[in-house]
Amino acid sequence: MSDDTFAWVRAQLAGVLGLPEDDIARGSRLADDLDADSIDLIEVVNKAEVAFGIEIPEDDLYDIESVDEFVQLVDARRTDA
Amino acid sequence: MDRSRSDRDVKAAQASNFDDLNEIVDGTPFDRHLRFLNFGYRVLDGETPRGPKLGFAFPNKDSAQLLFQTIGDTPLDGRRVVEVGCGRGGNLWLVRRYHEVAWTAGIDIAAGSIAHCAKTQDRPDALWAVGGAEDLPLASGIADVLVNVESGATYPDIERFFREAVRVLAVGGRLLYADIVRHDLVDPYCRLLERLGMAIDDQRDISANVVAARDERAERQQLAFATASPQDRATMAEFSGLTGSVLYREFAGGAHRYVTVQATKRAEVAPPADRILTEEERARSRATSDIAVEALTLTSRAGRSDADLPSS
Repeated sequence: MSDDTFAWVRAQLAGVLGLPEDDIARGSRLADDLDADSIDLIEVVNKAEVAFGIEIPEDDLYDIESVDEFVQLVDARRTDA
Repeated sequence: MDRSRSDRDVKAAQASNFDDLNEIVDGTPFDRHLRFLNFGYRVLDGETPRGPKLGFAFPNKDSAQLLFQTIGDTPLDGRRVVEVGCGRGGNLWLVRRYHEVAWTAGIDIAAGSIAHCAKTQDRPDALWAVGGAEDLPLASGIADVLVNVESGATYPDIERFFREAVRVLAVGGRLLYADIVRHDLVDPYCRLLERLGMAIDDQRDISANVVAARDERAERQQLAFATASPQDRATMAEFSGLTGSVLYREFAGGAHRYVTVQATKRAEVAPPADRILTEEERARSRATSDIAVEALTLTSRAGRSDADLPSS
């Protein structure tokens, strides 16, 4: 599921941030590499919750730093759903 | 604004303003993430941030930093913490996230804000109540720490609030205050607190930090209010403290200052029967309240026009 989730997350991040998908790697750091902020992430979280029928608790969200950490977070919730 | 409005009417208008905002945010993707409504504190070059390091995804980091700056070195573990004007509960959520407090109690005049807090922070050590700052629904001496962040400027009678804050603090308890204050009322407010038995431990002018926070983030944060009607954009700019808005100009231009005060209740002192602030000081304080309440009233409710939009 992880590759599938990564592809989805990458497409959403590219849309929200206005970046080519190729600029977004699993190891990309959301703030330092992609210049994302917390509002960008909230937008992607909301899209994920709607698309996958999951709920991502805020407490899990606030400490993530990288695309991969976010993918793992979504994956864990998809598995539970 | 009708300057003859009673304090009760001003309080009702203030409650409506924040409940209007709650309705605008309700059901949007930002609802559960919008915990703070303060203007924030941006750490400037050469300064060291206070409090725990927050990850990039933590929303409203400047707002969290404002609370950490207001707390300063005040110990919170084991303490009974009250916040007057708790809004959507961000400060108390943050306090409990990073400190082992005894309990927290949030008081706010806006029923919608308290409902939001009770829903999102439903736990036995977090108490929530609708109430006015000038008539707190709390027993005397019940709090070790009383927090008041960016709320007092809207109060029509700030002296009554300060008297109430001192009443509910235990001896040795601490008032942590941060707000927009008219430049010539900072010293009178501190003298007022001293007359009520408080010792001023620290008082800072943080206007430059708040201006920097607004310049950096206010426009972006307006996304949270994107569902507001176009005619209410001016009011949303005020809630955001957008560069050029009425409230921004007040503290960025020098007429008001953004200050923090930490004060300790050194003894139980019978409060003077007579007013401490002079009539003129009360009028100046009330004028600030009028500015704030009017600025935060929805344009659609007040009948203002888009001509009032800030120029930035």
